[in-house]
Parts: sequence; C-alpha cells; structure tokens
Amino acid sequence: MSDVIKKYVVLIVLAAVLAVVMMLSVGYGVMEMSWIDIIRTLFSGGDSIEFQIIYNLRLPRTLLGALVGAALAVAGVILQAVMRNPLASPGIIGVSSGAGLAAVVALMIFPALSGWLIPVAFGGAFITATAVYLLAWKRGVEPVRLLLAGVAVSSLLGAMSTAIMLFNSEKVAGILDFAIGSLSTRSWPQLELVAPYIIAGLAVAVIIAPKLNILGLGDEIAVGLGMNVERMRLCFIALAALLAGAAVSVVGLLGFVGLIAPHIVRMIIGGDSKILIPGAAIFGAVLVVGSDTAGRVVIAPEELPLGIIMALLGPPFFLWLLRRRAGEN
Amino acid sequence: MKIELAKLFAGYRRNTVLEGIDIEFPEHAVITLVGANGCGKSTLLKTAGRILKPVSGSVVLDGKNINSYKSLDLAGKMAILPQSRYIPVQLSVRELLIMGRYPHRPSGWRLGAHDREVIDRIAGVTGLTGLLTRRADTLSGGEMQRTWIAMTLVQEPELLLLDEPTTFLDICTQYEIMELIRKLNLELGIGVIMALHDLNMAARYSDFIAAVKSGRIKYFGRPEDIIKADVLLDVFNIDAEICHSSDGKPYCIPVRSHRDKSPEVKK
Repeated sequence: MSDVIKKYVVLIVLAAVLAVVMMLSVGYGVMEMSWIDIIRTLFSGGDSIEFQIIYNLRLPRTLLGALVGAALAVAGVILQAVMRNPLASPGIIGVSSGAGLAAVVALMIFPALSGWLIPVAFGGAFITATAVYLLAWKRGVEPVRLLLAGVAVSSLLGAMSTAIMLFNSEKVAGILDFAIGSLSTRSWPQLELVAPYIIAGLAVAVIIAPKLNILGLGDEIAVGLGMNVERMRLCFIALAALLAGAAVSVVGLLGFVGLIAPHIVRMIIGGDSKILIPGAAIFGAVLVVGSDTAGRVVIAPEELPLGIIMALLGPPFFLWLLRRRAGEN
Repeated sequence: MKIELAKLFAGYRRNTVLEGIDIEFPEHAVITLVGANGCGKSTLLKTAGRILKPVSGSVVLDGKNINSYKSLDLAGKMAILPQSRYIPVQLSVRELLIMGRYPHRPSGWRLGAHDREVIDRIAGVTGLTGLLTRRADTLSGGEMQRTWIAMTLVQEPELLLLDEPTTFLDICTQYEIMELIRKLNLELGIGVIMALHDLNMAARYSDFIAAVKSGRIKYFGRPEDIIKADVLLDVFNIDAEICHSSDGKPYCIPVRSHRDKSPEVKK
C-alpha cells in the first residue's frame, strides 16, 4: 500500500516541478522583469509593452508548451502499450510524417493556405494515421503489422516532403521552424485552436487508462478477460492520433518527448497506466516548457528552437538515467 | 459450468486444425488434453475460450451458444490461460491480480471490499501473499506461472482452461502447480480443462483424459482407459510399457519412437 502512496507523492512532486518551470517560462525571456513587476503587469492589463509580452507572448506560449508536451508524452505511453514495443512513438502511426507533408504542401505549393497551417497539418496527421490503420487491417490489426505499415508510410511521405523542399529550396527557411519543432510566435489563437482537443484527449486517456494495462498483456489474455480487443485498440490509436496530431500541428515535428518521456516516467513510477499516464503528461509538459524556456535564455537576444534544445539535452539525460538504472539492478 | 463442443471445425487462415470435434465434457472435473505437437490441443482450448472463432460448428456453455454471451459476462464464469502472453515489465503481482478482476469491474478504477477480499484469498491459495509488491519481471518461472494462474482465479471462474501450465518449469514446480490445480478442483469445485505433454502427470491428476489426434478427439476416458499401449501407439507413435504405481495410478514408460520417417544416421 505504501508503494502506491509513494507513487502519488512522485506525481505531486512532478506537478510542483511543472509549476516552477512554468513560472520560470513566464518570468524569463529576452526582456528581463522582476516577479513583482510581472504580477503587477498581469493584473493591471492595458496596452503597455510589458503586458503585451507577458500576457500575449509568454503566457500562452507556456500554456501551449505544457499542453503539447503532455499530449505527445501520453500519445507515446498509449502507443508503446498498444504496440507492445518500447520503440513506438507518436511518429510510428504516421502523424509526424502526415503533418509534415501537409505543412510542406501548404507552405510551399499553396502559400495561400499558410494561414491555415494548423488545421491543414492536423488534417494531414489524422488522414495519415487512418491510412496506416486501414493498411494494417486484415481481419483485425496486429501490432507488428501496424508498426511496419507506419514505418513504410512514414518514409514514403517523408521522401515526398523532401522532394518538394528540394524543388522549392528558396522557401525552405520558412518550413525549418516547423520541421525542428518550435513554439516561437505561437499565441492565444493557436492555443485556442488545439487546447480543446488536447484537454479532452488527456481526460479520456486518464479515465480509460486501466484498459491500457490489460491490452498490454497480449490479445489472448485480454480477450480472456472479456475485452473487445479490436475495438479497444482502435479507441486507443484514435486517441493517440488525436493527441499527437493536435500537438504536432501547432508545435511542428517535435520528436523525443513522445518516445522518451514515457520511459523516464516508467523508470520512476512503474508501468501501471493509471499512474503512468498522468505522470507522463506532467513530465512531458516539464520537458517542453523547460526546453522552450532554455532556448529563449541561452543565446538571448537570439532564440534557439525548442526542438534543438530538447534534442541536445534530452538524449544525454536519458542515457545517464538508463545507465544509472542498469547499475542498480 | 457445462461445456459442449458440437461439430467443431476451427483453424488459422487456410489451415484447418480442428476437424470435427464432438464432445460433452463432464462438469466439475479435471480433464486433460494430450496429443502430439500440432494435433489441435491449443486450438481446441482457444476455440472453447472464444479467443478463436470457429470455422463452423459451435461451443455450447450451459445449453447456450457461446456467441449469445457477452464476452465480459463470460469472463466471470470461464477463465483461460493461453500460451501467448507478454511478461509485463514494471507491473507488480498485485497490479496483475487487480487486472484479473476486470470482468467484475470493467472501469478498472475503484477496488471494492469484495475485490480486495478475493485478491487476498487467491494470493493465499496460490502462495503469492509475500510476493504481492514484487515486480513481475523479477519473478522466477514458477512464481510467474502461479501469478498467471492466480490472475485467472481472481476472475472467480467456474471453469478454467489452461494451455500447458507447466511448460519450462522444473519438476518440483510442475507438481506444485498440479497439486494447486487439483486443490482448486476439489475445494472450490472449479472445472479444469488443460493441455499437458507429460502423460504420467496427466494420468495422476486427471479425472478424464482426451487424446487428440489430427484435429479429432480420438479417445476419451478415465486415465486407465487411455494410458494403454495400443492407445499410445496410435496417438503418439510410441511403444510404451504400462505399469502401476503403489497407489494404483497407471503410468507409462515410453521405450521407442515408432515414427517411420525418422532419418537414418549415416556413418
């Protein structure tokens, strides 16, 4: 019993860390302000430049980062359990390549669509995930077949993206931001667009988490326990596609979080999805908000995209954790 | 719970494994399926346990076709331990037993007083009380096997289907599992249908043995009717000597394979 309590304590600590990181994200940036000034500015409102920066830039960007990180990490937890494969990540069902191709097409071939980047990328992500699922379907979807279909479709769409970029090399700079993953210039409109999907998706994921545990034991065991495996698998894949699709459509092709955050949290609090899903959500939010804040501070007044920071700092941290764990056992 | 298989054909893709099974299994008994590799033991168990849909024919439980039951209701009456399962990493034994309560609490969140009572009782019966907080991937083979069996038992089934519950275990652990199954049958009245490879173990612990050959139940009867030289020759292609242990149970000592196509050894 104390085991369970310990896990909830870890959750609370993680939540506290998230709160601190989010405060830092609002507090630090190119423009330096004291905490008292920040609070005073937020409550005073008005048209001052300080208010504009805090309320219209940093605050929505922080909230968006938290939602995107949570969405990608939870999508990763779901897909790793559904596929029973530790290498599964949101990219594996085609959401990244689908969103990527849609973004490339929108920005380069139909520039008129560029104002609609988020819905277009979201559509691309969802259509691709559906296509991967249907391609893997043959009297049911076997996890291995789904995995392979996802890899094949992703490399096909990736090649198409690259080809389009090659023939429009003068416009590549415009797409770079999306390809790396960045929160720069995102504000309330982008937040309002994806927040409903992500919040609803996270809530559903937490509620149906116990069923994910059972799916992870294998189809035959799950059927024996009375679960409609095919339907449940479709539910979870759709949920992961919704979460990851909404996230990548606004932040771009941010890898790493969806693959690694689930593993790190699993090392700390175990594999029970009931605790793992909220834990991964919080930790994913910490990773994204933290990386974004660091990216704004390290080479100020210039800004490093969030994707770069995460790709540089994440893997060493993960490898350190992995080796430390191996030493313990 | 009474289980009856009627004109049952089942298999995978174009390969039919069960070629017309017709049998009414006695209730509250320990019934063991024996037979060569690929004869259809596992397919029979999977079809009876609605993991595999039959090509034709039907599985009848207490007089009603298995399709007319809700899968979840069925899971509270009949539990199956298939061969294919994933050793869950980073889940504790207790978490696994909680998952076994799924048919009775499908939302999976609140654990009632009865759920706790069942989990504690079954942990006691299967000797897992001291291991409840252990992570499943740190268990020994025998402990893991007892955990899987406990997971089926917390479903509170009337009928238990077990596919090779003793594979990969040492000899003592194998008999420990058999004693457990016998105890569950005698004390709780749970009916057991299982597939085993060890004929002497089958003879010792079964009320009935079904010998499966080429997708059909070729022989069905008490152990002394099945552990016979002519039956074993027909079903397994072996010559065997039949003896009796001091408590009267039959056992066999296989002496040679009779399969014609055994390759010649060249010098």
